[in-house]
Amino acid sequence: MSLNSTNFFATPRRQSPVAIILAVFKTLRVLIRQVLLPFILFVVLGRKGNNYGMYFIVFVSSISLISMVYSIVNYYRSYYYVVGKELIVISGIIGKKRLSIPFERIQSINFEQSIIHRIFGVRKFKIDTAGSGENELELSALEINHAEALRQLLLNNSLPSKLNTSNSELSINPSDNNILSLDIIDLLKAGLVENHLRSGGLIFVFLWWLYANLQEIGINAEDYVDRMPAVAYGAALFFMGILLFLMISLVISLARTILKYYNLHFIRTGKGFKISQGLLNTKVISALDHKIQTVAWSDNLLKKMIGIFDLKLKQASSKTVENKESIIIPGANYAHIRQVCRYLFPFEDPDTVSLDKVDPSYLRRSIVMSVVVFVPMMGLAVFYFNYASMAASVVFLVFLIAMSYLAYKKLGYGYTREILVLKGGAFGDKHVVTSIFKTQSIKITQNPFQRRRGLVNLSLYNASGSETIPYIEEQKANSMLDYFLYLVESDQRHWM
Amino acid sequence: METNNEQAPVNIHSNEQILLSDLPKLDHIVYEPIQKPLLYVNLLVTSMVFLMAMLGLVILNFMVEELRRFMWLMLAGNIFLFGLIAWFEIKSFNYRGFAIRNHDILYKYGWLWRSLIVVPFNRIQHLEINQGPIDRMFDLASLQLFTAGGSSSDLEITGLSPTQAADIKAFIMQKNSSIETDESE
Repeated sequence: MSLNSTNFFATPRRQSPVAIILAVFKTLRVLIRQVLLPFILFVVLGRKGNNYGMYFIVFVSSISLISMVYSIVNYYRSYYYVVGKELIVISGIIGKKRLSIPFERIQSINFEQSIIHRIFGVRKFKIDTAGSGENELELSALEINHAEALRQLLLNNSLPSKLNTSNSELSINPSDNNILSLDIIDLLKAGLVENHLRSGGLIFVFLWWLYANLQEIGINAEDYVDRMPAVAYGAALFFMGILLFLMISLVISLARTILKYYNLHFIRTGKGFKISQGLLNTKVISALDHKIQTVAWSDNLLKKMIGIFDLKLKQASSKTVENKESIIIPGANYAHIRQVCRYLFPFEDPDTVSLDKVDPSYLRRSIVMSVVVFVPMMGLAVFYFNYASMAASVVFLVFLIAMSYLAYKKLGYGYTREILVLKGGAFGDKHVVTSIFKTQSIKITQNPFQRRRGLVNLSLYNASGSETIPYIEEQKANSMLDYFLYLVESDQRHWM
Repeated sequence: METNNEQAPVNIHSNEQILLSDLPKLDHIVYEPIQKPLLYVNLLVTSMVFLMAMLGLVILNFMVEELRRFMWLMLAGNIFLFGLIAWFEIKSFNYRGFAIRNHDILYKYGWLWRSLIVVPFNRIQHLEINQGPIDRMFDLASLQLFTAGGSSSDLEITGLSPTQAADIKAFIMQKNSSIETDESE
């Protein structure tokens, strides 16, 4: 039977058996993450420890075992097939669950390949549909030719205007309508100027977790610290620690950036964008213009110096506000961003939209909040009469106030009949351009302090998140709301 | 339908001017209050909780002798707290209200922290009328509107009469179905 004939998928089929391997692997990974490290610590180091750790390990292991068995049985009870113009997926061990997806509701078809997929020559098959409720379908492993054939079948039978008809090969051809590609040098650059505090935070959490676990096992880390001979060593260790900390976070940032964005190509397709990226897990995400709700770009101090931004295209998604549905590009420059904006908002130029400022009491309030944080810190420092802590509190206060001031200075908003433009950021910059007619609902909120001054916050919710303009005059917000409602209600275009 | 993905403004051909001053104004809206029984239900639930707390306090005082001389203070505090919350409830009940226009529905709620949420009919994906056991006792119902904007942008109007809820639902369905068929062609 030919793969391309409709009949091939008319009989219920199972996924590739690789699905079992994937499921087992997934469970194992969770198991290792949750159990193995505590287990090693427990066995190697734990003599004084009690038995609770062991019980916990047994508990988690048995749950994992059950879920592994479950997924294997589930594999043998799951089928997919095509009837008429519907894709049907049956699954479930106790009750049978039948999911049917009419072709015309399919919004996008995406493939994904992890390293395991690649070894066994299979693909993850993902379908996103419109409407509320359960909107995503995922077949975790299909043989490549089956995946291609099924995709072709769905494409041939659905509305061509809705679906991205260009080839969804895992490697896209960068020569047609390339917007940007990142080579290894670009990635190194982007990785170097990542926000190292975030990577540093991850390390900190890990160390803290390790420390807490050691404590539990009965090793008191402070004992060792106490035995450190002299203060001089302490200071040296402290600076070495900071250096090491910075270096490790740098390496982690670099590794993360390269793994995630390796061989990135960002191209313009007929009516949308497409991106392929990833070293171990290759991923192709496509986004049609009408599904993109918001374009956002931001930098930090380091990125600003070399003139690159993180660009984000936020898509409407069934599971709202999830990053995985967004296209994120590190290391886009301003020309790229302008190009993307021109495609999405051909009649508008975000740069020429004049921006208004929010009320100065926004600044006043964040300064008050900074002081609220400062007072107890300072109080404690004075109470213990610790000069270092006092100095640290004052520095922290100055930092917070500087940040509030910058944030207020940079905050601005403006709109045309198509787009709402928001600018912000404290040390870095943030820009948001969102389609007004794609708004789902609008909210005005007011706290007691704002009421005294006649101010409100105005929020626009769309299918990929929300944008808020804080501290604007009530009258102004009301007339903006009137105008935005008029734009939303008089527009017949597709918002998703 | 080729207009689906058209990025140009819709009325590019019939581009008559719309004066911003002519747009329907938020300031002119008269909000409809919600059903009084909801206030009674809320007050009833609150007073039940506080009665239980009072009972607990009294029992505690009988069991622990050292606490006994604080008993009146604790009870007074409890009653004061109840009064405060009841007052908030009455105030926020009076503030609450909804309004239905030709193209959207508005709902304002809260009292110290106030919110107004507006959902255009052409963005509503799903409608639900809910009626719990207590609602049924007091002949109340609530109407839930779902959009694609996520749970924080969805709208739930509590304290409607069942007929009100059904009427609003029917009105919105009638308004939205025309748009719906437009799109799903």
